[in-house]
Amino acid sequence: MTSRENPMGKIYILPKAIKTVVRDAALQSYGVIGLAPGNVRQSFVKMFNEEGDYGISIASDERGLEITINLIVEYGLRIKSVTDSVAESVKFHVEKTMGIPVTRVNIHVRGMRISDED
Amino acid sequence: MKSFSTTLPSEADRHRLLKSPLTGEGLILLFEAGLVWLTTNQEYVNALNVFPVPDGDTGTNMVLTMQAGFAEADSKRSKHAGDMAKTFAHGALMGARGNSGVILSQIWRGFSRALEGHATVDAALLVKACRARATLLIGALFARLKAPF
Repeated sequence: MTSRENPMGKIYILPKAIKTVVRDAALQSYGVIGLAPGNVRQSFVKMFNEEGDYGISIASDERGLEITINLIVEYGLRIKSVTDSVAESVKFHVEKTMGIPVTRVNIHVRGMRISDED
Repeated sequence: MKSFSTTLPSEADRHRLLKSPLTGEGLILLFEAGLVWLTTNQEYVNALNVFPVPDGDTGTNMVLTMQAGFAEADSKRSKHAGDMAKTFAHGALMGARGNSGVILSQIWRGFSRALEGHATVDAALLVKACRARATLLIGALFARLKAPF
C-alpha cells in the first residue's frame, strides 16, 4: 500500500489499483500475448477469475514501487526488445497516472505462444 | 549517425539492373534506399509518436532497426534474393528497438518468408511478398485478442 500526505488528509493507493494500470500498459505493448500467474495463489485467482489480478506483484518502499510482471510473449520476436518496451511503457504509465516513482520493473517471461501456424 | 555507405550503382549497372529481374544485389539497393529515406524523415516520424510512451523515439527506433538489418545484409552480400531478404530480416529482428522496431522487424520477416527460395524477384512475387508481410503483421497484432489466456 502506498500513501501520500496532503493538507486535508492521507491518500492511499492500493496495489489492486496499480495492478490495473500495469496490466493495461503491459498488454498495450506489441508482442505481449497475456499475463501468466506468477505463483500458486495467482494460479487460483486465474482459475476462478479470468480477469483477475494475476501475473503482477507490487512491492513498495519509501523510494517507490517495485513491479514484477509475468508475461506470455509472441514466439518469433526478440524477447529483449519486447520486455524493454513493456518495462518502459509500464514505468511511464504508472508514474503518469499514479504520480509514484517506479524504481524497478522485473519481467519474467513465463511462456511463449506461436500464433502463425506455417 | 549514418553508418551505411551510399553505394549508388554506375550508369551501366543501373541499366542492367533495370532490365533484369531483381536479384540480391538489386534488393540490397532497395533496402538501402529505404533506410536512407527513413533516415531523412526520421524527425517527422519521431513527431508522430504518441503511443504507448510519447517520448518521440519512434523514428529513431525504426532507423536503428533498419540499420541493423542493413548492416547484416551488407556483411553477407549474396546474389540470391531470398537469402538476401532472409539476412536482412534476421538483422532487423536482432537489432529491433522499441515497439515500432519490433513491428518493423515482423514486416521484414513476412517479406523474407514470401521470398524464401526465390533467387530473383519479379513484380508478381514482390506484390505477393508485400501482401504476406501485411498478413503476418495483422495476424501478430491481433493474436492477443484470439489468445485463450
